[in-house]
Amino acid sequence: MELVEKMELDFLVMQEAVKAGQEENQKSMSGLTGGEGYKMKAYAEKNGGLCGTLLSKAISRALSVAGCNASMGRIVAAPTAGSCGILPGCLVSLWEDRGFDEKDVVMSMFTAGAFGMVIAGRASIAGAQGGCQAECGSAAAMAAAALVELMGGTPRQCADACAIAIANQLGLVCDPVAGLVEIPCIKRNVSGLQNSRRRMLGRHAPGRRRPARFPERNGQRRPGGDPYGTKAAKAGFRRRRESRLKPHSRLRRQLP
Amino acid sequence: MNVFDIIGPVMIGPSSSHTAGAVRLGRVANKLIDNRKLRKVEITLSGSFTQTYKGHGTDRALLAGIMGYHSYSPEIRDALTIARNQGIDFEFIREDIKGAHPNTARIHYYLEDGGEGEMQGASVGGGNILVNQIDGMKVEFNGENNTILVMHRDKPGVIAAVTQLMHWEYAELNISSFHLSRQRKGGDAIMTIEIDGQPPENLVGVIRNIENVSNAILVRRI
Repeated sequence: MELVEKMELDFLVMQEAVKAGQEENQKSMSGLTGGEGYKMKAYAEKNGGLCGTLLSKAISRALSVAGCNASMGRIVAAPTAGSCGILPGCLVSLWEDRGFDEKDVVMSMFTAGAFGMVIAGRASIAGAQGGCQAECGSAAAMAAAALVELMGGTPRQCADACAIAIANQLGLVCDPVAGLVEIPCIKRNVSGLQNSRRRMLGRHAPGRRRPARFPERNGQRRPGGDPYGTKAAKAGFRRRRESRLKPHSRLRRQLP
Repeated sequence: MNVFDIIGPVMIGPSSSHTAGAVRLGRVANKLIDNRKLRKVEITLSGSFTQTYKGHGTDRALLAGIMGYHSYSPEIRDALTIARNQGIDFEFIREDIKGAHPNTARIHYYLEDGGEGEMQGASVGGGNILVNQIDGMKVEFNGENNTILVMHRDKPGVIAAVTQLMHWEYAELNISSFHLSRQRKGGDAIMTIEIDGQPPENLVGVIRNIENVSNAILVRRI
């Protein structure tokens, strides 16, 4: 039970960070950013805007937590401080606006954490190492898995959601303005959040979807070397394709 | 790795390496100061610390750590004011320390009783730290375990005497890591001994009595 209590505490800190970040006159240490959570909350409460109240309020929460972080407030690094807004943006919204049980939300945080552990073990969650994809990308993937679990998805569906979310955020160079985790990191918490929420919509589609894996095909390079092991995946793909080719066409490929 | 390394730690933002790690570095200095009254600190910031220390609050974080606050204490934000109120002089020096990790800080402290000391360490990512120098001597520990630092003269038998004492007097103590460095042959040397579990209160006192040992410090896990 000790573990669950610890996670409950983390969820409580997330809720407090949402509140702290929604104050009107909030400013980051550098003065570059601040008050985004407040503005977005006011907009969401008017009529919900184009995205509807749930998504608009979730965006406001993600901005609030990221803003709280930039102004030296207390947050839960999930998985890092730079990407701390995504998971609370998703989970606090389902809990507050959709009436999900706190116990289920806390359990889904273990799911998010488990997927984060896989990413950290096999690739990286450090922006300085793997770029933005490693921080906000990992957070979005973790949140996607948590959301699918809350909506009643199977572990396999959670894994699919995680893979798709991370694929959508591959290839962003970590090069923030003035070297601070504010621009574009704070707003990227929103793209991360929407990214993970959209994964939820496809949950009921039949069969497994294959994540878009090979952005290098278009001649793009990815920062952080090959953190997600795509080179190996690509080599395997090529091998499988080669073996499917007929012998004469394989020969023809070797001609000048 | 456990799940709370991913969902966590609870910390004061904005950066795990520039804020949370900096607090932990400061806390090592706090353990070295060990409840004595602090008069002045000179903090040298090196590498990326020199560029981002204001925006990421590295200055406040280090100072908060030196005063004993944790990486989750809301007081970090106001650390400069708190230090002033406590009558602690502080100065930040921006200087590149050659060959050091990009996130390195050196803390030189002066005590009311005339004593002084210095430590240098790096914030190596995700809030983790590595202490590499204490009072000019090379050490290597990360503060995750209880660590005993034994300053001694480089003479045969000193290491054996220390470890034997630890074994015979406190059989349950287990050494998890051992590192030795010396200034020169026969000169001053320092042992870094990391141990599992909780060390007994009087352990360092007993170690100090060993021949050729000049001092022993216990840095409790931070």
